[in-house]
Amino acid sequence: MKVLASLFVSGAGDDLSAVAGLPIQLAFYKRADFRNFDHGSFVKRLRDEGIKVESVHAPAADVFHDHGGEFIGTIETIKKYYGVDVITVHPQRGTKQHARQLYRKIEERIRELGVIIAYETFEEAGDRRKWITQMEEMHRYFDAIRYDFLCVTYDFTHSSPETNLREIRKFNSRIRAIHLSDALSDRPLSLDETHQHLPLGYGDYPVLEFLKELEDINYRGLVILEYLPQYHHLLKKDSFLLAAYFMGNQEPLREEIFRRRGPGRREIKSPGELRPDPQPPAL
Amino acid sequence: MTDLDKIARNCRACVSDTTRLHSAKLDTSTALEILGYFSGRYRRGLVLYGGQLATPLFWGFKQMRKLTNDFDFVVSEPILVEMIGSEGLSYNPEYHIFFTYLDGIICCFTSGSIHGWDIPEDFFTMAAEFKIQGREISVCSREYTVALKFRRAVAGGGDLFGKDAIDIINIVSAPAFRKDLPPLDFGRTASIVLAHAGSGAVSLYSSLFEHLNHVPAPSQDTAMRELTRLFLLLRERAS
Repeated sequence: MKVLASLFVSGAGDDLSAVAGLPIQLAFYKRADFRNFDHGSFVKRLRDEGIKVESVHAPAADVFHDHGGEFIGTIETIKKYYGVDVITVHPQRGTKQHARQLYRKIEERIRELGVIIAYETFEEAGDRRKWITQMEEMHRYFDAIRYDFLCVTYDFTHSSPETNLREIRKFNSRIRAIHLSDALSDRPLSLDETHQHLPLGYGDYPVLEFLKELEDINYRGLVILEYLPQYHHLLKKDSFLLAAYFMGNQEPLREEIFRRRGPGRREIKSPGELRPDPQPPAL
Repeated sequence: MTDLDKIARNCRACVSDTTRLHSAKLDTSTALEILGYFSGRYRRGLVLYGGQLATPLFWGFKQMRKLTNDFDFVVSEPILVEMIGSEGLSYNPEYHIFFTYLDGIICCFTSGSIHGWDIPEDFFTMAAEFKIQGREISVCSREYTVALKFRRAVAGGGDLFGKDAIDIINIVSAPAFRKDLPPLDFGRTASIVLAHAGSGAVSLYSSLFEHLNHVPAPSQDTAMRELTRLFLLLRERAS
């Protein structure tokens, strides 16, 4: 299992300090951002900061953007500059039949590139126009159409805290990446996602139980910490705590989660009131 | 307890309210010259402590941060009195330290206590000998070096300075990478940390992980393992 921190970027000059020295998932917000991005100079900056890109997240890209070969062009650009094998995309509006037809046109090129297109899971009650959102549905459909390059990125906080452990136990063969964070289970689904993508221990999702389940199913893919930007200062600490956990040194992470969920946390009324950990004084 | 104000008065040390932190970069050869100078003249009763120890020259395994540009020594009271005369040490009553400049680098001296912390007897008996430029110098033990860094954080309100976290990682991990260093006694380190920093050190511990990116990537797994070993002992003994 490899632990990554996720960083969204919109320009090649964006601040990288939160993930300096870490292996990361590089994420691009918008298709236009990606098109206008100076990938060459950005790769040099990443190298200077000791950052290794292990996966790319292109949430706005999907196979339906086939005009001018945009989708396959995006995949080729990612492979050329970042050399990653797993690219996570969000399912966009469309139908399974249409997606299948479009993939048929580019399947050979995708196989040549040797990349996995991993579709991210979403809430069942979310946008029903997305062509595929559920773990079971993805496993069954990708198996049925026999596209081995179509896989799953399981977003822990897009899942239901009541069913996620059962779900991952049953369907996991196509999971290549996990988007991991914490969430508040009693909050309504909101588009700004401020109730989720919280640091581990800032919510009440069954984080430790989920991690144990990953070990039990012998998961060997990527585990990616995906936090809201206001919590990026915790990415370094949590990445290493999580990496230590998977190496068998589980207590420091457990302790940190228990500490964050200690007295006072439950009384917080809204995620905006969550206090970030104190920052160390400037050196 | 050593009264540094009184020593300064009795020895008529020059009193300076502010210490000028020298901006000159300290390189290894200058560091060796300074250490060689003091160890040659005052070997007995002088112990080097502080950030200089978290380097490959002493207890560290990598130069993980910019070399700190000062030297901190604990000296016996008679040596301190001697040095005030022979080295022209000045006194800073705000920080309760004596200091001088050598090759433009500030060298600080204290006796009996370090920033209000009474130095215990075993601080001296546990000090280790290193050979620098053919001269032996006493340096603070790894156990006390780590404990002092935790203590500063706990006493200062609960945040580990980034540089202290990096130094702890460096020192705790070093024996796994350097065959010339004896293994660190994790149990004894945990006991000394708890005795002098208190159980607050346990809750500070996870912030060490925030700075593991300063460890070269191939060494990070080992560093995590060593940190966790110490953490488990700290937690066990604190409870």
